[in-house]
Amino acid sequence: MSKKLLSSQKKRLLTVAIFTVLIISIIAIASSIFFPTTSSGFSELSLLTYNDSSQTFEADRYPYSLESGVNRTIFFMVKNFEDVVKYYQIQIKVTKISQNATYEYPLNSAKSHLLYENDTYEKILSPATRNEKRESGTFSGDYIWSPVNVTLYSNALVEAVLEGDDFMKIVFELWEFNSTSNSFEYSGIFTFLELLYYY
Amino acid sequence: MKRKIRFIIITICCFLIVIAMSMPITSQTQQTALLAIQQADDKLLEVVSSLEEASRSNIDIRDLVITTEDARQLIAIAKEMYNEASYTAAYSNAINANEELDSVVDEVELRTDNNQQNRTILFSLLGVFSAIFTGLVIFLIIRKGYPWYLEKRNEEFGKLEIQYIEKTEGVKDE
Repeated sequence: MSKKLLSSQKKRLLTVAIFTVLIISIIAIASSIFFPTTSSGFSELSLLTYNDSSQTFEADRYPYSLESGVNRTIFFMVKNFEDVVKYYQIQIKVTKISQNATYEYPLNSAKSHLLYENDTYEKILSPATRNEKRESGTFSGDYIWSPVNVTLYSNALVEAVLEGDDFMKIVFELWEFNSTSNSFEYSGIFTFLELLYYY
Repeated sequence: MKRKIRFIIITICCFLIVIAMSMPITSQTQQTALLAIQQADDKLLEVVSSLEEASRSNIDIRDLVITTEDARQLIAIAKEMYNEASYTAAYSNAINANEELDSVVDEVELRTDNNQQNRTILFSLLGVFSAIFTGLVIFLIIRKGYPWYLEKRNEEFGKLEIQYIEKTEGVKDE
């Protein structure tokens, strides 16, 4: 009698489990169809240099100084690990070393000098696929803004911002197009170089 | 000598007339180029928004992003040429960008519609399966559950005993 009862209880439990799994899967499928994913990824901005001997890009051997009238070369790279298409813009600003770059606000235009026009460095990128998100050490692909050569220069405007300081900070800010406001907005992502400046 | 001077004056006049006539044409070309660039610029932002929306719905639009990026570069070239006063070249680049963006708009609409249809089909199938599943559950309840309930009820009732309580003397019915 007790064995019979146990087997009937087991059957009932199994039925309840199957029923629950079915209901959950139906809800999951329906929600995945009707509630598309929201952006939950991130964007990556990096500075690179080109190694002539190994003929590769590397995050090493950054320039440590800039001389008046002498240009320096550096590369930046952007990767779209967001889940949506992104329209990026890079703004390169020179400022005093004492100026802090923050995640909340871009550098104040009154205290910095924009090296290139706003629309000089722009690119539309596809989002990385699940497999691409696992890749590392790649420099090209639909989701990558392949290393872009930037010439760092100085002129009277740059020197005016420095106000005689011996050091300078070159900040690379990543801006993203916001389709709601129809304008580029600061993403909060930045990277910078601190250089010794020779007048 | 007089004839020579007259010839020079006439030549200068003709030259001035030709310049005066070509001025409105240049101005018109400049205006047209500017309009085409502005139109392409507006369309680019519109396309970027629709691509963002499409990628949120997991629609494959990688090739369209590349085409849009090409169009963006064409617009940048058009702006550069416009600044260098090469209005015809600027106009032609802007028109090419416009055409590319138009094709992207059409393709995004088509793929979004297809995706919508697929979702509708999937949802319909989901609905059908849910209905079948619900029907099965109801059938099982009626076929198996109800007899089981009756059996249980009878079992429970079978256990019941009728107890007669004898009335004690002196108790009156109310």
